[in-house]
Amino acid sequence: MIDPLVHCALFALAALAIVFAGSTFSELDDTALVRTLAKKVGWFCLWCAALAVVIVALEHTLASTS
Amino acid sequence: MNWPSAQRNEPRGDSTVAAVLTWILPGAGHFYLGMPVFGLCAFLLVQGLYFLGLHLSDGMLFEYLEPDLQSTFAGVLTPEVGNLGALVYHMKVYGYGIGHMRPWPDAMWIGCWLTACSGILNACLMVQAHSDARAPKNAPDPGFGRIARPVLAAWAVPGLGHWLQGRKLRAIGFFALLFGMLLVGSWLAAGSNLSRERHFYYWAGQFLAGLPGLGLEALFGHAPVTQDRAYADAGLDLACLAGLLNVLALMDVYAFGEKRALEPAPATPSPLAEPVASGP
Repeated sequence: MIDPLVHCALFALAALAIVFAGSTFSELDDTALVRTLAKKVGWFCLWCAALAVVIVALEHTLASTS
Repeated sequence: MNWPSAQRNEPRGDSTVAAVLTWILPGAGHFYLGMPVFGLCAFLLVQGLYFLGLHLSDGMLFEYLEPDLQSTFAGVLTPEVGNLGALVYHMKVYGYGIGHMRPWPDAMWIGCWLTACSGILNACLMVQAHSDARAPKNAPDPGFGRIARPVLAAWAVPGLGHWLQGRKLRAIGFFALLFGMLLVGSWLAAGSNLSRERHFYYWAGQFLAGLPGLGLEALFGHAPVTQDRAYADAGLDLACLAGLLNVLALMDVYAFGEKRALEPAPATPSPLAEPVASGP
């Protein structure tokens, strides 16, 4: 049984780690890094959602076998 | 070591040549830079680790791979590639074994750890050679380990390199996130992600998160898988991602160390200097 909540929690953990590790290059100051983290994670999730919508749409149109 | 002064004086050598020589043969870069004692010690340590690992594993590391993955460049995505000379020797002499399955030696997994650690250690030695090459030729102390040591520490424990550089908030963030991902991933996969035999290339990614992954492997990595785990693949991905993200941490530690070394030393006012007149 696959639980959507578990999926979301695992995605949130991975997203947080990816954004944190990626931000170390753009934010040299530790305090600024932490302060802007929530906003960056939000943008990351938004773009991932947009990409997921595009993939699902393509799957149901171009890749459909029906 | 003060690199701005190295720009005024003659540096020890070409940093790219020193790094590439070290990649091919550990210590060779330091011989090129005129530091034979350090080069010899580094050679003995790095190659000693690799050949002890080869001895313990009977050179059977690449027999972990399925036959369809046994290609000429199969070793490129392993940590052993950090020690290129030893990896080429390993592939030439032992290759993919004798063509049929045989029992693994008792200390197989320790042997595999040692060869992988040798690759990571040599990558840090390349960092060392790259920075030493830019130190002034006549300086008695080129600053051993000022940059490479935090990089090695950042591999060993995620966040430790940042901690040593005084960036404690970042260090805690890296440790909590990456170690947390390793723990969650290993729990979801019931430790099956920690076995190099089961997941050869995922293990290579995970190994980049350093000693915490090895500790988990020693504790939970060799248990038999007795039931289906719904999130085993997600756990495998999470643990591998933790190691790959630690590469960004390593690069950050290296870049910060290099930037700090390139900054000019703060000028100390001479006690004999004339006091500056204040106001009219």
